[in-house]
Amino acid sequence: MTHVRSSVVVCLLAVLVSGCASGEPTKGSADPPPTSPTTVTPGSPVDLPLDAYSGTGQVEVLLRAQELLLRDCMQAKGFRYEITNAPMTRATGKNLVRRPYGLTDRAQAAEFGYHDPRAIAARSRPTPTAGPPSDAYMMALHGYTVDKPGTTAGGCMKQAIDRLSSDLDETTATLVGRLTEEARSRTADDPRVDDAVTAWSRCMAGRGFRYGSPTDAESAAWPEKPDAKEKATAVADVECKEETDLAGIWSTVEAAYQHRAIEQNAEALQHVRALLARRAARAADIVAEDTET
Amino acid sequence: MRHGGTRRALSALALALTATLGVGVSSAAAEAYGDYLTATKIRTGPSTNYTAVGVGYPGHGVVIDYAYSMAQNINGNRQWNHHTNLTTSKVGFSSDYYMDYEGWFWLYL
Repeated sequence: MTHVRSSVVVCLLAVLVSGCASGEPTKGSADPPPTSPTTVTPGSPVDLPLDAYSGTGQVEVLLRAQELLLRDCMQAKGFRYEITNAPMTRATGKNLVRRPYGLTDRAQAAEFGYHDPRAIAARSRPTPTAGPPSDAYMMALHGYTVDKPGTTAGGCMKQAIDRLSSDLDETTATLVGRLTEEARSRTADDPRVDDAVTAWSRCMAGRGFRYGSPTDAESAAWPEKPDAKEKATAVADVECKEETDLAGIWSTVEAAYQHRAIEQNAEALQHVRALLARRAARAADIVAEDTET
Repeated sequence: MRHGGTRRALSALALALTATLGVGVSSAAAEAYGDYLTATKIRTGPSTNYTAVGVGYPGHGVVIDYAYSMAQNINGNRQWNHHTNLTTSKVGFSSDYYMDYEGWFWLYL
Protein backbone atom coordinates (compact mmCIF):
# COMPACT_ATOMS: atom_id res chain seq x y z
CA MET A 1 0.00 0.00 0.00
CA THR A 2 1.30 3.43 -0.92
CA HIS A 3 0.97 6.15 1.69
CA VAL A 4 0.78 9.69 0.37
CA ARG A 5 2.72 12.21 2.40
CA SER A 6 1.33 15.70 2.65
CA SER A 7 0.83 18.36 5.27
CA VAL A 8 -0.88 17.45 8.50
CA VAL A 9 -4.63 16.99 8.16
CA VAL A 10 -6.76 14.99 10.53
CA CYS A 11 -10.15 14.26 9.08
CA LEU A 12 -12.77 14.60 11.74
CA LEU A 13 -15.67 12.24 12.14
CA ALA A 14 -18.96 14.15 12.04
CA VAL A 15 -21.05 11.89 14.24
CA LEU A 16 -22.68 13.76 17.08
CA VAL A 17 -24.08 11.82 19.96
CA SER A 18 -24.94 13.62 23.16
CA GLY A 19 -23.44 12.08 26.22
CA CYS A 20 -23.88 12.65 29.93
CA ALA A 21 -21.15 12.12 32.51
CA SER A 22 -20.43 13.49 35.95
CA GLY A 23 -16.65 13.52 35.63
CA GLU A 24 -15.99 9.81 35.28
CA PRO A 25 -15.42 8.74 31.65
CA THR A 26 -18.37 7.08 29.94
CA LYS A 27 -17.31 3.80 28.38
CA GLY A 28 -19.05 2.83 25.15
CA SER A 29 -18.71 0.15 22.52
CA ALA A 30 -15.53 -1.88 22.48
CA ASP A 31 -15.68 -2.17 18.68
CA PRO A 32 -12.90 -0.26 16.91
CA PRO A 33 -14.35 3.03 15.61
CA PRO A 34 -14.28 3.79 11.88
CA THR A 35 -11.60 6.21 10.69
CA SER A 36 -10.80 8.55 7.86
CA PRO A 37 -7.25 8.38 6.49
CA THR A 38 -4.76 10.90 7.70
CA THR A 39 -1.06 11.59 7.23
CA VAL A 40 1.53 13.00 9.59
CA THR A 41 4.42 15.22 8.54
CA PRO A 42 7.54 13.80 10.22
CA GLY A 43 8.70 15.93 13.14
CA SER A 44 5.59 18.10 13.10
CA PRO A 45 3.07 18.42 15.92
CA VAL A 46 -0.18 16.50 15.56
CA ASP A 47 -3.49 17.97 16.67
CA LEU A 48 -5.87 15.47 18.20
CA PRO A 49 -9.55 16.15 19.02
CA LEU A 50 -9.25 16.14 22.83
CA ASP A 51 -6.46 18.76 22.69
CA ALA A 52 -9.20 21.38 22.31
CA TYR A 53 -10.49 20.54 25.80
CA SER A 54 -7.14 20.25 27.56
CA GLY A 55 -6.45 23.88 28.43
CA THR A 56 -3.00 23.81 26.80
CA GLY A 57 -3.89 26.94 24.83
CA GLN A 58 -4.43 28.83 28.10
CA VAL A 59 -1.36 27.72 30.00
CA GLU A 60 0.68 30.81 29.20
CA VAL A 61 -1.82 33.27 30.72
CA LEU A 62 -2.38 30.92 33.68
CA LEU A 63 1.35 30.84 34.43
CA ARG A 64 1.68 34.61 34.13
CA ALA A 65 -1.18 35.22 36.52
CA GLN A 66 0.19 32.63 38.95
CA GLU A 67 3.56 34.37 38.96
CA LEU A 68 2.01 37.78 39.68
CA LEU A 69 -0.14 36.43 42.52
CA LEU A 70 2.92 34.77 44.07
CA ARG A 71 4.91 37.98 43.82
CA ASP A 72 2.18 39.97 45.58
CA CYS A 73 1.69 37.36 48.31
CA MET A 74 5.42 37.01 49.00
CA GLN A 75 5.91 40.77 49.07
CA ALA A 76 3.14 41.01 51.65
CA LYS A 77 5.15 38.53 53.77
CA GLY A 78 8.35 40.53 53.38
CA PHE A 79 10.05 38.45 50.68
CA ARG A 80 11.10 39.21 47.14
CA TYR A 81 9.81 36.98 44.33
CA GLU A 82 11.56 37.30 40.98
CA ILE A 83 9.40 37.78 37.91
CA THR A 84 10.57 36.58 34.51
CA ASN A 85 9.37 38.20 31.29
CA ALA A 86 10.42 35.25 29.14
CA PRO A 87 7.77 33.02 27.53
CA MET A 88 6.72 30.39 30.04
CA THR A 89 6.62 27.53 27.57
CA ARG A 90 8.58 27.41 24.39
CA ALA A 91 6.77 28.11 21.16
CA THR A 92 7.90 24.76 19.87
CA GLY A 93 6.71 22.99 22.99
CA LYS A 94 4.11 21.18 20.97
CA ASN A 95 6.87 19.43 19.04
CA LEU A 96 8.03 17.98 22.31
CA VAL A 97 4.69 16.37 23.18
CA ARG A 98 5.52 12.75 23.92
CA ARG A 99 3.54 10.83 21.33
CA PRO A 100 3.14 7.10 21.98
CA TYR A 101 4.82 6.05 18.72
CA GLY A 102 8.01 7.89 19.65
CA LEU A 103 10.55 9.69 17.49
CA THR A 104 9.57 11.07 14.10
CA ASP A 105 12.33 13.67 13.62
CA ARG A 106 15.16 12.24 11.54
CA ALA A 107 17.57 15.09 12.31
CA GLN A 108 17.03 14.65 16.05
CA ALA A 109 17.47 10.88 15.72
CA ALA A 110 20.74 11.32 13.82
CA GLU A 111 22.19 13.70 16.39
CA PHE A 112 20.80 12.46 19.70
CA GLY A 113 19.54 8.93 19.10
CA TYR A 114 16.80 8.29 21.66
CA HIS A 115 18.30 10.67 24.20
CA ASP A 116 16.43 13.78 25.25
CA PRO A 117 18.21 16.63 23.38
CA ARG A 118 17.45 19.00 26.25
CA ALA A 119 19.41 16.85 28.68
CA ILE A 120 22.44 17.00 26.41
CA ALA A 121 22.30 20.62 25.29
CA ALA A 122 22.46 23.19 28.08
CA ARG A 123 19.27 25.12 28.70
CA SER A 124 19.57 28.87 28.87
CA ARG A 125 18.27 30.19 32.14
CA PRO A 126 18.18 33.59 33.79
CA THR A 127 21.09 34.28 36.12
CA PRO A 128 20.04 33.95 39.76
CA THR A 129 20.44 36.98 41.97
CA ALA A 130 20.17 35.22 45.30
CA GLY A 131 21.33 32.05 46.97
CA PRO A 132 19.30 28.88 47.41
CA PRO A 133 15.96 29.33 49.13
CA SER A 134 15.95 29.53 52.94
CA ASP A 135 13.53 27.44 54.98
CA ALA A 136 11.64 30.61 55.89
CA TYR A 137 11.30 31.52 52.22
CA MET A 138 10.15 28.04 51.24
CA MET A 139 7.59 27.92 54.07
CA ALA A 140 6.15 31.28 53.04
CA LEU A 141 6.04 30.35 49.37
CA HIS A 142 5.21 26.65 49.45
CA GLY A 143 4.30 25.69 52.99
CA TYR A 144 7.19 23.17 53.07
CA THR A 145 10.99 23.07 53.02
CA VAL A 146 13.44 21.26 50.74
CA ASP A 147 14.25 18.83 53.57
CA LYS A 148 10.59 18.11 54.31
CA PRO A 149 8.57 18.63 51.15
CA GLY A 150 4.84 18.00 51.31
CA THR A 151 2.53 16.41 48.73
CA THR A 152 0.08 19.31 48.38
CA ALA A 153 0.61 23.02 47.88
CA GLY A 154 0.65 25.39 50.87
CA GLY A 155 1.64 28.98 51.60
CA CYS A 156 1.37 31.56 48.85
CA MET A 157 1.29 28.84 46.18
CA LYS A 158 -1.96 27.45 47.56
CA GLN A 159 -3.50 30.89 47.83
CA ALA A 160 -2.68 31.63 44.20
CA ILE A 161 -3.97 28.27 42.96
CA ASP A 162 -7.20 28.69 44.95
CA ARG A 163 -7.73 32.17 43.48
CA LEU A 164 -7.39 30.82 39.93
CA SER A 165 -8.60 27.21 40.01
CA SER A 166 -10.79 26.70 43.09
CA ASP A 167 -13.81 25.54 41.05
CA LEU A 168 -11.78 22.85 39.29
CA ASP A 169 -11.95 19.75 41.50
CA GLU A 170 -9.45 17.01 40.77
CA THR A 171 -11.93 14.70 39.02
CA THR A 172 -13.03 17.45 36.65
CA ALA A 173 -9.50 18.74 36.14
CA THR A 174 -8.20 15.33 35.11
CA LEU A 175 -11.15 14.20 32.95
CA VAL A 176 -9.59 15.21 29.62
CA GLY A 177 -6.28 13.63 30.56
CA ARG A 178 -7.95 10.38 31.60
CA LEU A 179 -10.02 10.24 28.41
CA THR A 180 -6.86 10.88 26.40
CA GLU A 181 -5.01 8.07 28.14
CA GLU A 182 -7.94 5.70 27.69
CA ALA A 183 -8.13 6.48 23.97
CA ARG A 184 -4.38 5.96 23.74
CA SER A 185 -4.59 2.62 25.46
CA ARG A 186 -7.37 1.44 23.11
CA THR A 187 -5.34 2.67 20.17
CA ALA A 188 -2.33 0.62 21.23
CA ASP A 189 -4.53 -2.51 21.26
CA ASP A 190 -6.31 -1.73 17.99
CA PRO A 191 -5.65 -4.32 15.22
CA ARG A 192 -4.98 -1.56 12.68
CA VAL A 193 -2.20 -0.16 14.86
CA ASP A 194 -0.97 -3.65 15.62
CA ASP A 195 -0.63 -4.32 11.86
CA ALA A 196 1.24 -1.03 11.40
CA VAL A 197 3.64 -1.86 14.26
CA THR A 198 4.23 -5.30 12.74
CA ALA A 199 5.02 -3.68 9.40
CA TRP A 200 7.42 -1.31 11.19
CA SER A 201 9.13 -4.20 12.94
CA ARG A 202 9.53 -6.01 9.60
CA CYS A 203 11.03 -2.87 8.07
CA MET A 204 13.48 -2.57 10.98
CA ALA A 205 14.45 -6.24 10.62
CA GLY A 206 15.14 -5.63 6.93
CA ARG A 207 17.68 -3.04 8.02
CA GLY A 208 19.27 -5.32 10.58
CA PHE A 209 17.49 -4.05 13.72
CA ARG A 210 15.34 -6.47 15.71
CA TYR A 211 12.65 -4.74 17.77
CA GLY A 212 9.00 -5.63 18.21
CA SER A 213 7.83 -2.04 18.61
CA PRO A 214 9.14 1.56 18.72
CA THR A 215 8.81 1.43 22.51
CA ASP A 216 11.14 -1.57 22.64
CA ALA A 217 13.73 0.32 20.59
CA GLU A 218 13.41 3.53 22.59
CA SER A 219 13.65 1.83 25.97
CA ALA A 220 16.58 -0.47 25.11
CA ALA A 221 19.65 -0.26 27.36
CA TRP A 222 21.37 2.64 25.60
CA PRO A 223 24.60 4.12 27.02
CA GLU A 224 24.71 7.35 29.04
CA LYS A 225 25.58 9.28 25.89
CA PRO A 226 24.23 8.34 22.44
CA ASP A 227 26.67 6.24 20.45
CA ALA A 228 26.75 5.32 16.76
CA LYS A 229 24.61 2.23 17.26
CA GLU A 230 21.88 4.13 19.08
CA LYS A 231 21.83 6.88 16.45
CA ALA A 232 21.69 4.38 13.59
CA THR A 233 18.82 2.56 15.29
CA ALA A 234 16.91 5.78 15.91
CA VAL A 235 17.36 6.89 12.29
CA ALA A 236 16.14 3.52 11.03
CA ASP A 237 13.22 3.79 13.44
CA VAL A 238 12.16 7.16 11.98
CA GLU A 239 12.64 6.00 8.38
CA CYS A 240 10.62 2.86 8.95
CA LYS A 241 7.85 4.92 10.52
CA GLU A 242 7.78 7.01 7.35
CA GLU A 243 7.84 3.97 5.12
CA THR A 244 4.96 2.26 6.96
CA ASP A 245 3.12 5.50 7.90
CA LEU A 246 2.98 4.20 11.46
CA ALA A 247 2.57 7.70 12.93
CA GLY A 248 -0.22 8.52 10.48
CA ILE A 249 -2.10 5.30 11.12
CA TRP A 250 -1.63 5.61 14.88
CA SER A 251 -2.84 9.23 14.89
CA THR A 252 -5.82 8.38 12.72
CA VAL A 253 -6.95 5.57 14.98
CA GLU A 254 -6.25 7.59 18.13
CA ALA A 255 -8.27 10.51 16.73
CA ALA A 256 -11.17 8.15 16.09
CA TYR A 257 -11.12 6.84 19.67
CA GLN A 258 -10.88 10.40 20.95
CA HIS A 259 -13.88 11.41 18.83
CA ARG A 260 -15.86 8.57 20.33
CA ALA A 261 -14.82 9.68 23.83
CA ILE A 262 -15.93 13.23 23.05
CA GLU A 263 -19.30 12.02 21.78
CA GLN A 264 -19.85 9.87 24.86
CA ASN A 265 -18.78 12.56 27.33
CA ALA A 266 -20.02 15.66 25.54
CA GLU A 267 -21.78 17.28 28.49
CA ALA A 268 -18.94 16.73 30.94
CA LEU A 269 -16.39 18.02 28.43
CA GLN A 270 -18.42 21.16 27.75
CA HIS A 271 -18.47 21.72 31.53
CA VAL A 272 -14.67 21.33 31.70
CA ARG A 273 -14.23 23.68 28.78
CA ALA A 274 -16.43 26.31 30.46
CA LEU A 275 -14.48 26.06 33.73
CA LEU A 276 -11.14 26.36 31.93
CA ALA A 277 -12.41 29.38 30.00
CA ARG A 278 -13.51 30.99 33.27
CA ARG A 279 -10.08 30.33 34.76
CA ALA A 280 -8.36 31.81 31.72
CA ALA A 281 -10.56 34.92 31.98
CA ARG A 282 -9.66 35.30 35.68
CA ALA A 283 -5.98 34.93 34.81
CA ALA A 284 -6.23 37.45 31.98
CA ASP A 285 -7.85 39.98 34.34
CA ILE A 286 -5.01 39.57 36.85
CA VAL A 287 -2.39 40.07 34.14
CA ALA A 288 -4.22 43.07 32.68
CA GLU A 289 -4.59 44.67 36.13
CA ASP A 290 -0.88 44.35 36.73
CA THR A 291 -0.06 45.87 33.34
CA GLU A 292 -2.23 48.90 34.11
CA THR A 293 -0.67 49.66 37.55
CA MET B 1 23.43 28.43 32.61
CA ARG B 2 22.46 25.59 34.90
CA HIS B 3 23.71 25.81 38.52
CA GLY B 4 24.39 22.89 40.84
CA GLY B 5 26.33 21.83 43.90
CA THR B 6 26.09 19.56 46.91
CA ARG B 7 23.23 20.05 49.33
CA ARG B 8 25.66 20.60 52.17
CA ALA B 9 27.47 23.40 50.34
CA LEU B 10 24.19 25.03 49.35
CA SER B 11 22.80 24.76 52.88
CA ALA B 12 25.94 26.39 54.25
CA LEU B 13 25.59 29.17 51.71
CA ALA B 14 21.95 29.63 52.61
CA LEU B 15 22.85 29.93 56.30
CA ALA B 16 25.50 32.52 55.50
CA LEU B 17 23.11 34.53 53.40
CA THR B 18 20.39 34.40 56.02
CA ALA B 19 22.86 35.57 58.67
CA THR B 20 23.95 38.41 56.44
CA LEU B 21 20.53 39.47 55.24
CA GLY B 22 18.54 38.84 58.40
CA VAL B 23 15.52 36.63 58.85
CA GLY B 24 12.59 37.35 56.49
CA VAL B 25 14.27 40.31 54.80
CA SER B 26 13.78 40.27 51.03
CA SER B 27 15.55 37.05 50.16
CA ALA B 28 14.46 35.68 46.82
CA ALA B 29 14.73 32.49 44.84
CA ALA B 30 13.90 31.66 41.27
CA GLU B 31 11.46 29.09 39.97
CA ALA B 32 10.58 27.77 36.52
CA TYR B 33 7.12 27.81 34.99
CA GLY B 34 5.86 25.32 32.43
CA ASP B 35 3.66 22.35 31.70
CA TYR B 36 3.60 18.57 31.27
CA LEU B 37 4.33 17.05 27.85
CA THR B 38 2.11 14.03 28.43
CA ALA B 39 0.31 12.29 31.32
CA THR B 40 2.97 12.25 34.03
CA LYS B 41 2.92 10.71 37.49
CA ILE B 42 3.81 13.00 40.38
CA ARG B 43 5.86 11.04 42.89
CA THR B 44 7.11 11.46 46.44
CA GLY B 45 10.72 10.97 45.31
CA PRO B 46 12.92 11.19 42.19
CA SER B 47 12.33 7.77 40.66
CA THR B 48 9.58 5.38 39.61
CA ASN B 49 10.16 3.47 42.84
CA TYR B 50 8.41 6.21 44.79
CA THR B 51 4.68 6.44 45.40
CA ALA B 52 2.58 8.43 42.96
CA VAL B 53 0.42 11.10 44.65
CA GLY B 54 -1.29 12.20 41.44
CA VAL B 55 -1.02 12.60 37.70
CA GLY B 56 -0.28 15.78 35.77
CA TYR B 57 -1.61 16.35 32.26
CA PRO B 58 -0.80 18.88 29.52
CA GLY B 59 -2.73 22.05 30.28
CA HIS B 60 -2.37 21.81 34.06
CA GLY B 61 0.68 24.06 34.35
CA VAL B 62 3.60 23.59 36.77
CA VAL B 63 5.97 25.60 38.93
CA ILE B 64 9.32 23.88 39.49
CA ASP B 65 11.15 24.91 42.65
CA TYR B 66 14.17 22.59 42.69
CA ALA B 67 15.49 19.42 41.08
CA TYR B 68 17.92 16.55 41.47
CA SER B 69 20.30 16.14 38.57
CA MET B 70 21.56 12.56 39.06
CA ALA B 71 18.40 10.59 39.67
CA GLN B 72 16.78 7.79 37.64
CA ASN B 73 17.57 7.85 33.92
CA ILE B 74 14.53 8.38 31.70
CA ASN B 75 15.51 8.38 28.00
CA GLY B 76 18.91 9.84 28.75
CA ASN B 77 17.59 12.45 31.17
CA ARG B 78 18.57 12.00 34.82
CA GLN B 79 16.92 15.13 36.15
CA TRP B 80 13.79 14.91 38.28
CA ASN B 81 11.93 18.13 39.02
CA HIS B 82 10.22 18.92 42.30
CA HIS B 83 7.16 20.94 41.39
CA THR B 84 3.61 22.01 42.09
CA ASN B 85 0.75 21.10 39.74
CA LEU B 86 -1.12 24.40 39.34
CA THR B 87 -4.49 22.75 38.71
CA THR B 88 -4.63 19.93 41.26
CA SER B 89 -2.22 21.47 43.84
CA LYS B 90 -0.31 18.17 44.01
CA VAL B 91 3.37 18.49 44.88
CA GLY B 92 6.13 16.01 44.08
CA PHE B 93 8.71 14.83 41.58
CA SER B 94 8.35 14.05 37.89
CA SER B 95 10.97 13.23 35.28
CA ASP B 96 12.34 16.27 33.45
CA TYR B 97 11.81 14.28 30.24
CA TYR B 98 8.08 14.79 30.54
CA MET B 99 8.11 18.52 31.36
CA ASP B 100 8.64 21.71 29.38
CA TYR B 101 9.45 24.99 31.09
CA GLU B 102 11.43 28.22 31.10
CA GLY B 103 13.16 29.74 34.08
CA TRP B 104 15.72 28.81 36.69
CA PHE B 105 15.68 26.78 39.86
CA TRP B 106 18.20 25.21 42.17
CA LEU B 107 19.69 21.95 41.00
CA TYR B 108 21.04 19.55 43.61
CA LEU B 109 23.21 16.52 42.84
